Amino acid sequence: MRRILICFLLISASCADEELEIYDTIGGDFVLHDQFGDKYQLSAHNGKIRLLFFGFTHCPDICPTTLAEVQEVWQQLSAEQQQQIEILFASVDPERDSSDLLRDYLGSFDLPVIGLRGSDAEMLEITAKYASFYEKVSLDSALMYTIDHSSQTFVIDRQGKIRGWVTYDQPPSALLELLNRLL
Amino acid sequence: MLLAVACSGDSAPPIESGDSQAPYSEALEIEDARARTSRPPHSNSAAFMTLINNGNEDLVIVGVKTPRAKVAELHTMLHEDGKMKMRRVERLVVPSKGELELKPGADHLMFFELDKAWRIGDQLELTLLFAKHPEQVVSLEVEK
Repeated sequence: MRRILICFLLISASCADEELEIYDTIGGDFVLHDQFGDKYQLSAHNGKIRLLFFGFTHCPDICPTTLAEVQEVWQQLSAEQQQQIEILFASVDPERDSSDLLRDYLGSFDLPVIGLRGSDAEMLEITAKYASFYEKVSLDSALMYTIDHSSQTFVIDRQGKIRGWVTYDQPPSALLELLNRLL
Repeated sequence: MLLAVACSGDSAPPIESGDSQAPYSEALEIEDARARTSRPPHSNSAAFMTLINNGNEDLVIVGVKTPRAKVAELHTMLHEDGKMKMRRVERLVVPSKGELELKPGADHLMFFELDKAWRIGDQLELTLLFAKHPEQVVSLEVEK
């Protein structure tokens, strides 16, 4: 019985220590501008764990829900853990999401989000590197047009490598679990 | 929480066919109705709820209105190969003896040109418009 218990403990310890996979074939460095007009280069912020989400501020559903869920996770972290993480919201609506608009929108969340923007060409290149997608689609709606887009939140480690992601249909606990394995 | 719904004064006649002769307002239950707070500088928001149809006819929602927004639309979200595609739809169906869940990332109600910001804790009234049945007023609260 004692041997079985020791084996169980060893297996448990092994699972807890198992390293997250490094996704070398996707992701990578990029340069954009934040909501205050300052340059943001991913690699210049290495040392921090980054959460990266591609969205747009007119998005009334997926984006605020994702940010609200990130906020839920954020509130479960200690102040010391929070200091090790940056939250990045990269706009895939370059036409409408100005710096001012990003600043106002993201300022409404109780969360320190860095809003990032670039040209359409820059965003297409970056989303392709991150195996993501966006496309402007005309809509018979007061919205005029919407942006079809991927909904993953990428978890990027202190070296700028993708270590995992959560999709829209996963609960906030999945993101928290990923973060806890990097913190 | 179960929310009672009330028929408005200018409503259409109750259902005319089917085994149930009860006014359809008695056949419809609405649970977990809530709206999302609006985020500046945008003047838009969304609302969600679960509609339970205990009647013998499908209930077809063809519109929604509220005094708190100039424009109200029915929307759905398509999930295709990891892509999220929001689309406006003409109708949403609450199946007979079934339910329709309006929720983020799925079918939902959208509002534009709000009268003012929808703040957490605000109480709102929406009116659901049905193809063949009386309109229904739903009371709900704004959440985060």
